[in-house]
Amino acid sequence: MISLRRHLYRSIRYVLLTLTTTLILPSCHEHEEYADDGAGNFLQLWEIIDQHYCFFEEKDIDWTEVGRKYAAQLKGTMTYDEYFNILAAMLDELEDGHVNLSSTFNTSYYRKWWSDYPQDFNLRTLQQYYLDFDYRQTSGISYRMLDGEIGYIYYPSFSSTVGNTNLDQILAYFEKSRALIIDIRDNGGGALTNIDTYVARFITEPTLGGYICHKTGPGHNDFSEPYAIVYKPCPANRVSYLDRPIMLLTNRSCFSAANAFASVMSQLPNVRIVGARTGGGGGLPFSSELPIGWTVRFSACPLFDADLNSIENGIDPTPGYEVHCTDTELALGHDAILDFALSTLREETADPSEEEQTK
Amino acid sequence: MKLKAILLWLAALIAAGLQLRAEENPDRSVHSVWALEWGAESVLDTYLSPLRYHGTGLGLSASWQKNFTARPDLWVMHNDAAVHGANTHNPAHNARMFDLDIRYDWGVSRRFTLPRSLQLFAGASTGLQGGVIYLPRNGNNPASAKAELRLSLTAGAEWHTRLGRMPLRLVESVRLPSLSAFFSPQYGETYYEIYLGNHKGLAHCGWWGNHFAIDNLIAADLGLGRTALRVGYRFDARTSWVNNINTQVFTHALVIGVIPGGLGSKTKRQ
Repeated sequence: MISLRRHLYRSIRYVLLTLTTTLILPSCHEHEEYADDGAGNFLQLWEIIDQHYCFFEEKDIDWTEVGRKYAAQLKGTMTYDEYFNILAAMLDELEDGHVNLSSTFNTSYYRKWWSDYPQDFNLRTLQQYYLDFDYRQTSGISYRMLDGEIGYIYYPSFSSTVGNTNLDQILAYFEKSRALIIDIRDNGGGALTNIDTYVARFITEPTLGGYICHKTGPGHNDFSEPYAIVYKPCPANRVSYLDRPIMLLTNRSCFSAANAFASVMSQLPNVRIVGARTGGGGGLPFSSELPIGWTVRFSACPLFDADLNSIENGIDPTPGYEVHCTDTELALGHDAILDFALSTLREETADPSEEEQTK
Repeated sequence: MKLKAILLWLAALIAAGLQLRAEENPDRSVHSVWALEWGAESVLDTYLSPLRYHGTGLGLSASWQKNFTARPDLWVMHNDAAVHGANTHNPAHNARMFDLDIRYDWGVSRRFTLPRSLQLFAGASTGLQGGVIYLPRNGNNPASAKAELRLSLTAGAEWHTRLGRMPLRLVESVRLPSLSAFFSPQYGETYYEIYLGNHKGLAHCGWWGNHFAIDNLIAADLGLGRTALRVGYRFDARTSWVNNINTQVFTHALVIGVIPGGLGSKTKRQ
């Protein structure tokens, strides 16, 4: 009986020791959790941005000072709306269209990257005066052959997945075209993988399109080595569009993936960027959240062009190809950017014998 | 008549011999346990969110145990497999995070038979574990993939007794992954960059300092004739601290299982 008790005691001691070990050891990686109150949510937001945002150095932002400035605006009693507006104003200091604070009643959004600039585009004008409301549509792409055998593609969002078979059909339709216009004005971005699908049709060998890097730690300068983004040409059984001029039409509302697409396309020898500087958005956004349940989105992984220049502030048109449209012209049915692209391409690709016949 | 008597004697001797051999041969049958595990789970993965999510987990586990051919009284081979899922929510209860985990371990343990029907086990196992923690509300960082190949230390204890006239086995089993190779994305790396081919810093050598995990089961097996019922509690912890990403998944689960074949010959022998 004594032996049995001894074994029992030993067993109980063993179990307790195991339990103690299991409960204590895993807590060795400390993690600070903030309370769901005014101070807690503010600190959580400030810390998320402080540790993950990727453009502090590039934009020369003193985030500590920004935090002090807005912490001083917090009051003991505030409405949710007032509180949201303070946090949103703090985020606006980043001047980044990829930064949003989202609650059930509002989503903050830094709009000045496009609102301070001319729009240079009117969809109705395009559809009515250039496409005659008669165009094909697939994969989120509208397309039509324009006068002078100029192929025209309008792609308003990189959120629309471009199917390879759809792109085959579109480019086959433009087989006899003399040049191609890809219009991405007002394209606010979407999936970067769609860039691969497009670019593969315009190259014949692996092509360096840019670089990407990511944060490796919470410090403002903790970044990985830039990693080369190399685009591969499409397989031989796909339809390519090679050795003919391509113009990519841009405006200030080209953002994020559209901005990255403009950056990659600008590297290709037969491509010219026409229109206005793009809106930027050269940081892949991450998401996070606050104890109150609001989400925050912010730039986390910077993208660079093939020369390792940041594309956060946009891509300029090819020198000599910056064109703007006034709202009045657009209302009257004149799209100066598209007109410029069409006239330039028609002139460049005109067949001299045809011109003779015309005369 | 004499021939009949001789044949009877021979048959009796053979039968006795076979019986003796059977008693000398220790149990070589496969003992399996199938269990449903349900309980509370908390999930923290700072790649996805700085907030700890809480919710309910449900899993199915199975284990098979067999004595080795050589020294079956000392060495036990065991296979353990489990699939587990959890549905958790953030503190504000306006977002859900899902945890899916699949694991398999194969191991060998040394049995130490002590007086009073007490057995202790110590050994090691190797296994694979994979899964994903998925937070649908996130954009470019919606999931944190988990994969590891590991070596674990295992230990256990069994006490065979009776509850009234019912055979009872009390079980304590612990697995402590001690050395592993595991996957983790970099601190702020998107899966897009991994897809592009940047695989630097994704594979890690794990030890208790950066990848502590433990799987602890306490159970009572109640013999019900040809089958047995297992009632227990499992504490499972998976933590890692790598690439400045903090992951902590804790599960407290009620275990209800069946043991086909009952508690087996061990209980009968004792």
